[in-house]
Amino acid sequence: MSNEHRKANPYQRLPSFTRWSRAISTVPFAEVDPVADFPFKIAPNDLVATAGSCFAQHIARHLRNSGYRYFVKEPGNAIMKYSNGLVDDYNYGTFSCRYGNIYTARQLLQLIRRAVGTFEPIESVWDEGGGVHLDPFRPAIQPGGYISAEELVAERRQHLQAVKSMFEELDVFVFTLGLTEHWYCKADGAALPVCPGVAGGVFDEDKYGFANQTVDEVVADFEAFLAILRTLNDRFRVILTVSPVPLAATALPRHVLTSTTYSKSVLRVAAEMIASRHDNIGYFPSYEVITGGFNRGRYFGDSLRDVTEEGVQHVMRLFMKHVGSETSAVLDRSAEKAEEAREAEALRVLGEVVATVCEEALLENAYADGN
Amino acid sequence: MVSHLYERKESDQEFDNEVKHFIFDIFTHKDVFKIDSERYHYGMPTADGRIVFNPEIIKKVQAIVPRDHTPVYFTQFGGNSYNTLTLLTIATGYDFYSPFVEGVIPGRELIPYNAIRKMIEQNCKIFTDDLSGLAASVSAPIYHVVSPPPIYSSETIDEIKKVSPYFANLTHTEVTPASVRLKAWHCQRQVYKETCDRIGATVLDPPAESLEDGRWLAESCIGSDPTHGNYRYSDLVFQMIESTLKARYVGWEWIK
Repeated sequence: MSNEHRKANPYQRLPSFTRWSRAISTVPFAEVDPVADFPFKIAPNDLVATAGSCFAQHIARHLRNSGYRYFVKEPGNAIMKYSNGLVDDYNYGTFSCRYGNIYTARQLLQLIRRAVGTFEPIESVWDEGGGVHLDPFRPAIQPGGYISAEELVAERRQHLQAVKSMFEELDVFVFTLGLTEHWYCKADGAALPVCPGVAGGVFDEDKYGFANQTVDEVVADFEAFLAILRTLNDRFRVILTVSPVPLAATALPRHVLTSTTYSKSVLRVAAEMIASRHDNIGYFPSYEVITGGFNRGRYFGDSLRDVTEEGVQHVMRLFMKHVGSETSAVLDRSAEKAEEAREAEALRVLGEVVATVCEEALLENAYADGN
Repeated sequence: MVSHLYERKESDQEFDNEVKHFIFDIFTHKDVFKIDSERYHYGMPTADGRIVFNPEIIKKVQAIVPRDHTPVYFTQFGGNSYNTLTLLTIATGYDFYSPFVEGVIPGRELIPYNAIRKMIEQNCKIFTDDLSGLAASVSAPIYHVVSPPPIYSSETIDEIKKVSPYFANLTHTEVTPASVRLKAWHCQRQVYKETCDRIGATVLDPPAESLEDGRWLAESCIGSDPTHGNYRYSDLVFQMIESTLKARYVGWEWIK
């Protein structure tokens, strides 16, 4: 059809990002920007907390290294920070609290219910033998688990208190929906992050069940989560993302690619429904950036599961552009840095004191002897 | 430890065997305490990744110990190094569960025991490497003398801290509660115990007479700094060593 035969139509008034030919086909892959409009910006002083699946760790890492006030409620005690890798190994600061990966909306709802004390799972401790005790709800949170059930329960109490405080104090909550498939305890429906027997525990089909959430279930769980969050915090905003990372395995008797497509489709639709219902919730399309055909698969590593740093950089570049405040990079961190420097200096001095006092104690009579 | 020997008389213990202590002179070799890449190592890594004891020290031992004497090695590598981390609290007060001491102080930040253990392990790695190196390099029996337990009274440590020039730059820190220091001591002891078990060495715990309530450094053994025992403590340790060897003390000498 020639141009003169075209009549006026709604598409003619729409911006260029609505057209594939203008927004994808003719745009260099690194410049593709599917964030057409985001409902709010993060202010420099907003406390930004994160949770979710593996991909959320990338977001957390970039927020931590950016000008934002990345909110870590469980950073690990100062003495731990001066032992190589200890804080990371024990998952302090991986997310805003030490909850590990939260793959499903069901897990997130369960977390806030546990934090406010309205739900306590019956499954409490996995005794692995040899003095190793694991938390069924964060079995990989630390190497070697806990030395006793008592320690585990006490540390979990501290953790859940921190989670509650995090929800009370945060301004922005970034959550990445990861999975729909999950295992749960038949006794009380408690959702587990991984199937028992994989990272701890013993699989028992009488005790554990499998479920694959629908769109309605994901939306209902997230809405229930929001309802509780509102009782703790009246100013929060949520940034929802969907993890682009495919399923490592499906528990259903079908191809893992089919299950991945189902899961991601459900989560993407659920995110859209949730965001469209609330002014204080925005969907950020990191899923589209990583999985979109425009990048011809280059944002996945050799396994075709791991997201490359180049892909993460693309996502975060858009995140900063559309969600970040222009002044976020100049956030004053001098007080925080001064405190860290003071702690580091105190430990260094204490190390010297102990070594010096030790030397003096051993040498005091050597001097007297004329050595 | 050494100071005590200057005034020590020959023992009248009724043992047939005799023991003479040869003490490695760290005054001459004071770089031992330089904890950096240039430090003088007791233990030394080899090109193939093993740890051996510094051959220069072994030569000195062989040169000074008479051929008709049976050598036995007693070490105190690392001593109370856990104090670097736990004598004073530099920021938020913390506590941890321990397999050796019950309970935690309410309201303090809980750190997982395995994290504390890892921290202490890292902190004394160079010293446990020294021990491993010694075991890999000599065929004689090896005993590791565990460092003295903590002082119960935090007030005593605080008093020392206030007047000691060493602590002048640490006035903003608080003395870590006694129970936490005790747990840290047990943790370090356990790290050494496991090293000794692995290398075939024996752990010697502080003498029972030096303890109060079986846990704390007895007041009679507290010296002028919060990380060591005093002359009395040294005396008890040497007596313990001699009892272990069933041997009568006859003197001592520096290994220079």
